[in-house]
Amino acid sequence: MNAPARHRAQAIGSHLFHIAITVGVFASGTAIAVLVWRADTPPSCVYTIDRLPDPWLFVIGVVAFVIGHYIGVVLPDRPPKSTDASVKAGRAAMVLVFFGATLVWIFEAVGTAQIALASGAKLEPITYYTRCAIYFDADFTGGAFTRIAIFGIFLIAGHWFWSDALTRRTAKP
Amino acid sequence: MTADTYRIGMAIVIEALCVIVTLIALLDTVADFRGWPNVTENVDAWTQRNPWLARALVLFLFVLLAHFVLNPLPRG
Repeated sequence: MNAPARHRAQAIGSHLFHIAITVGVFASGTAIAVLVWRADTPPSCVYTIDRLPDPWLFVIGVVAFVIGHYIGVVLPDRPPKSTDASVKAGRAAMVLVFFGATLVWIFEAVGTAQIALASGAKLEPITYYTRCAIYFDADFTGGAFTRIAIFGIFLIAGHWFWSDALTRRTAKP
Repeated sequence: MTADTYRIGMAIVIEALCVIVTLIALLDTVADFRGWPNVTENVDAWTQRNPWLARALVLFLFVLLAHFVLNPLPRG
């Protein structure tokens, strides 16, 4: 295969990979949300064994963060040149992130206030649902999904926010 | 009356996170099609321009993790 054909094949592969990831994330996340909504879980967050505090979950986050940083050291990015459109898209992405965070904090505020729904049920803060999910996960899978989620989030955080370029710049005399 | 809202609350939290991650993945896909720097490269550039904000964000993430996993769930 000659070079242009190889580059075209790589580009098509990259496009398909990105489309599959986008569709896959939305489909699997929505499927999990529907399954949780319709699940036959106990009527309240009851438990007999205390699963938290668990310092090892925190250690997993620290280890994943360091690994995320070293992925950037071993496989550094080679970004193409920015264009006006890409800069605008980057700003739009930041707006989306802050918009999403705002929605999350509105939900947190409603949960903290424990406002009752029409059915008489009360919404709880995100902390409650997160810890309750960790307890259910510990009962059903031994905590596998919890560990995978913490590892994934902190791997990305280490890769994004402990920049390899930042380390090089700090080390400069 | 305090009925438990675990299922609907958790479903909303999961779907909200799912939509945020999907939008980020969608932006990465657009960048890939147009040959723009991807999300990681954009965030990396932002981190270099704002090192103290990045450190504060990392501190916030670890405080959040500690808050979730280093405290018990109160018995209701």
